[in-house]
This record gives sequence, structure tokens and C-alpha cells, in this order.
Amino acid sequence: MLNMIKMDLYRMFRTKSTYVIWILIAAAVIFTTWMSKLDTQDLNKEALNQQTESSVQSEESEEINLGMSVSLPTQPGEKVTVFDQVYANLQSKFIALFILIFAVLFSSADINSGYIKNIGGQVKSRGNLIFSRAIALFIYTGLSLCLYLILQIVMQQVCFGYLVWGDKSNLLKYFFTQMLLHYALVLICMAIAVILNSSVLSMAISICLSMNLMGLIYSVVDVFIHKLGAKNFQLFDYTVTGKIALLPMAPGSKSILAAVCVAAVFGIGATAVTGRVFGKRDI
Amino acid sequence: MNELLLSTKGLTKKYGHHNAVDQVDIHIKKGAIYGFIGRNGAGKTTCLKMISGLSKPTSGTIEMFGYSGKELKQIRSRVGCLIEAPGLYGGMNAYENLNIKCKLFGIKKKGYIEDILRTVGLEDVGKKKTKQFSLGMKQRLGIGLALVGEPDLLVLDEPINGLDPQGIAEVRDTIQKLRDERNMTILISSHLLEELSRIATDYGIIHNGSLLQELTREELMKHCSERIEITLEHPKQALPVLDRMGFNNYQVTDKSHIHIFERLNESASINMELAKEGIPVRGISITSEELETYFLNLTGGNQNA
Repeated sequence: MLNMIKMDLYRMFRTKSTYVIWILIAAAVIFTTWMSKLDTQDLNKEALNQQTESSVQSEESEEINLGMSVSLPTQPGEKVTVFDQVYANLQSKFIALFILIFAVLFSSADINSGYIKNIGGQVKSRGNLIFSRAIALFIYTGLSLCLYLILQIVMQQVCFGYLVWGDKSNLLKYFFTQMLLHYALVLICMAIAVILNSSVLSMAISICLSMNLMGLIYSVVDVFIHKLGAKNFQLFDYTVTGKIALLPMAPGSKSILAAVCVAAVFGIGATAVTGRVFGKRDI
Repeated sequence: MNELLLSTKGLTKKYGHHNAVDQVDIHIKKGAIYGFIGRNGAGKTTCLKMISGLSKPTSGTIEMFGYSGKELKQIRSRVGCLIEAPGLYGGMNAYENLNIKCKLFGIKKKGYIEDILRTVGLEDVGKKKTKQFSLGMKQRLGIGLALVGEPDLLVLDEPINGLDPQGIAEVRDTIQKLRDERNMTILISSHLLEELSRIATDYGIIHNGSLLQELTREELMKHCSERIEITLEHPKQALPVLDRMGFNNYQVTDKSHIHIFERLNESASINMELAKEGIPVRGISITSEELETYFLNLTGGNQNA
């Protein structure tokens, strides 16, 4: 198993897409931070002009928005914090999108190249190849999010000219809970890529997941469950994408526990099913 | 008889109602280069996939290195394979591609990868990305990948398919070298009988999922070599005459034919001796059969060959 992990890590760090995705994340952070600076300036100007006509917005909307929107929770007149930026980018699944693309590319690379046929028969348990892949993806998710955080801090200083962290304790809690949720989403996309055996289809589904487009399906399920009597049930609340979108900025232990449970159930479930399917399937 | 390294019994693979491989019994001796011949779609790749552990048989058994059933898992690492595609990462060079597999086997030996590159004749490729390799180079690197971990059995599926004559010669030399230098047993499939005949020591001919015939190189050559072919009503009557004339290398092939593989210039005297004994000869000629013709006759025609 250790050798399989070493093999997957070697393969990962020798693959061009690993670095291309990191470069894209860096470019995206530069872009979003710069845009948020412009937005904040506009909002502050507007706030000065219309001090009396402030619109009241709920801080954490529970509506499901289709598509992707990176918007800061910062109120007009307040300083933009690192936490605001992290929250905006992670809850919108903007960074997740890049990591998911990599997960699909990496998970299907050995199948597409035919390399799997070279080693598939020689390993004692083919299912273990999936577990080693999952561990490699854990390292990639962790590194990508850490890289993102560092870049975000740097860009915050560069674009805004100041560095305000926000609530550091909540930032850490939020960041690591999101890391776990992002990893669970990566494992789901790995499962899709391996089980469907089609890069294009799995890439499309992964993008749909990060864009909340599965919300349409969840709504149908919700309607069905409402008819059964559970009027307040929302499937989105119990999904990984839902938890990523709805995790509050000041996550209490209950929110964190719920997020960890959802991540664990989906992550472990996806990996176990993929390992089983891959172990049994002809390649 | 040489020790069998691999044998299958009733090996069958069904896809729905279609039998891709049907009751195949293969016998491969240790140290042999076993040529697995069949047309496209005959069931070669499916067979090789089952032997390599990439596909599960619907029924039948495989015995390798004395192991069978679930025990096979223990010796799977002793089977290196190149099935369908070389399985390379185009963005990496030859060394890196081999190193990926070395990581899997935990091989850290210095010079190990260089040795494999030398064996497959790719020691001079440097840092060239494999996507820039010719098809022949890719196939040879694919063989190199299959060699990682020192397998005892090498399974190669159509390694010369699509190659130009030079590429074919290079792959052929590599395979020959592996057998000579590493004493490996090699199972190689192809639909190019003529090419296989240059390296294989044993043959299995598969058609429509069924193994039609297994034969040694000598047996195949006998079928295809130049010979005197006598057509007569009762071949058995002619045998004492041939014995008296001192012929040893002959064969009664069917109800009306005798093939003589020696002293090919004596057909006239054979005819005379048989006539003297009152044995009517319908025909006598010197013939030979191309390997390809032999294969086509065996598989029932020349379409799609």
C-alpha cells in the first residue's frame, strides 16, 4: 500500500496538470482579490451617497443559487478581512472547481493512458489502487488550499495595502472544516471519474456539482419528501456541496460536527464504492 | 516433456450471450515463446486479459507457476504484460515512466531503470518526452514497463501491430533478446503469422473464441515446408514401399494423402516403385504451403485475415 501511495504521489508531482491547476488557482486569486477591491470601493462610494437607504441583507442566506458567485460578506464601510476573502472563495466553490478538475484528470489519467492495464493485474488488490489515489488527492487538496490561503494573504496585502485577518480562531475552524468538505467533494468526483470511465462526462458532472446545478435534482427530491410530511426538509443541507455553501463564518461545534459527519459519510462511502467497483471490474 | 508454466482449462468469457472466449485450453512450456495467433476479434486479447488478471473468466481455470484459483493473487506480480496500449504518460520521459512502476514495486536499485532501457534499446533517448516517441519506441518502452519487477512470464498483446518493418524488426529483436538473456517465457499474440513464425517456439491458433490447434514450431514447419505430396486411394498400402526405399520422414495426413519431407528429387522413382507394386497413384507433386495459407485454411477462408 505504501508503495502504491509513493507511486501515485510520484505520478502526481510529475504531471503537468498538477502545476497548471495551481497556476490557475493563483491567477484566480489575483483576479478575484483585485475585483473585490474594485467592488468594495464602489460599494463604499455608494454607501456614502445613500447612507439612509441601506439595504438589509441576511448574513447567511440559505437559498440555493445556481452558478457561481464570489461575493464578500463585508458590509460597506468595513475593512475587508482575509477571512472575508477566504469565506467568499471557499463557500462559492470557486477554488473547489479547480481542485475538482484536477481530481478528475488525475483519477482517470492511468485509465486513459492504459497504464492501469500494465499494473492492474500485478497488484494483489486492485481496490487498493483507489485508496492510494484517495490519499494522493488528500495531499493535493491540502496543498492546494494552503497555497490558496498563502496567496490570498499576499494578494490581500498587495491589493488592499493592509492585512486584517478577521476572527483568527473562526478563520482556522472555517478553513479546516472547508478543507475536509472540499476533500469529500474531491473523493466524490474521483468516484464519478473511475466508475463512469469517461473523462468528459465526469468533468461535466464535477463542474455541475461545483456550480450547484445538482440543486435542480435536490429540489425534485425535496418536493417528494415534503409530500411525505417532512415539510422543512432540504436535501441540500445534507450534501457536501450544501455544507460547503452553508457553513457559517462563525461555525459552532454543532455546525462543524454536522459538516464533518457529512464529509465522512460521503468521502468514505464514495471511496469504498469506487474501490469495490474497480476491484471487481474488468479493465 | 518440458515443465508447463501456464495452462488453462475450459477458459471461457461471456459477454451477454456472446462467447468471446470458449473453452480454451492453452499449454505454455517454461522458456517458450508462445505465439497466439488469430484474426481480429478472435478472442486473443480477452484471453490474455484473463491470464494477466485484468479480466475475470466466466468459467474455467488458469494454472500458473503451480498456482490456481484464489492462490493466483500471490504470483500475479510474476506476470508482466503489455495489453492493447503501451500505457505511457506522454508528458514524461522514458525514465520517469519506468520509475512510476519501480515505485509500485519498491525498486530502488541503482542502474535498474538504465538496464531496462538498455534491454529494450532505448538507452539513448535522454529526456525526450514519450509523446514524441515513434510507435515502435513506445511499444518497446511498453515492453520495458512490463519488465519492471523481473516477471517470469511476459504477456504481449499485438506488440507489432501498426509498426513499420523497422519497428517490427526492433520489437522482434527485443523479444528474442529477452528470451535469450533473461530466459523468460513469453506469450505473444498477433494476427501476423509470418512475423510470429520468426520468433515463436510454440503456437496456439484461436478462431471465433475457440482454440483450434496447438503446435510446436517443428510441427508448424512440417505443415508448411516443401514436401512430396502423394494422392492415392489407400495410403497404408504405400507405407511398406516407402520403408523399403529408406524413407523415414513422412506422414499420412489424411485418408488419401502422404507427405514426404526428404529426398524431394525422388518423386519419379517413388511413382515407379508404387506402380510396380500395383498401387494406383492419383497424383504426385512437390508442394509447399505458405504459413499464411495454412492459417487461412485452418480458420476457414481468407476474409478479414
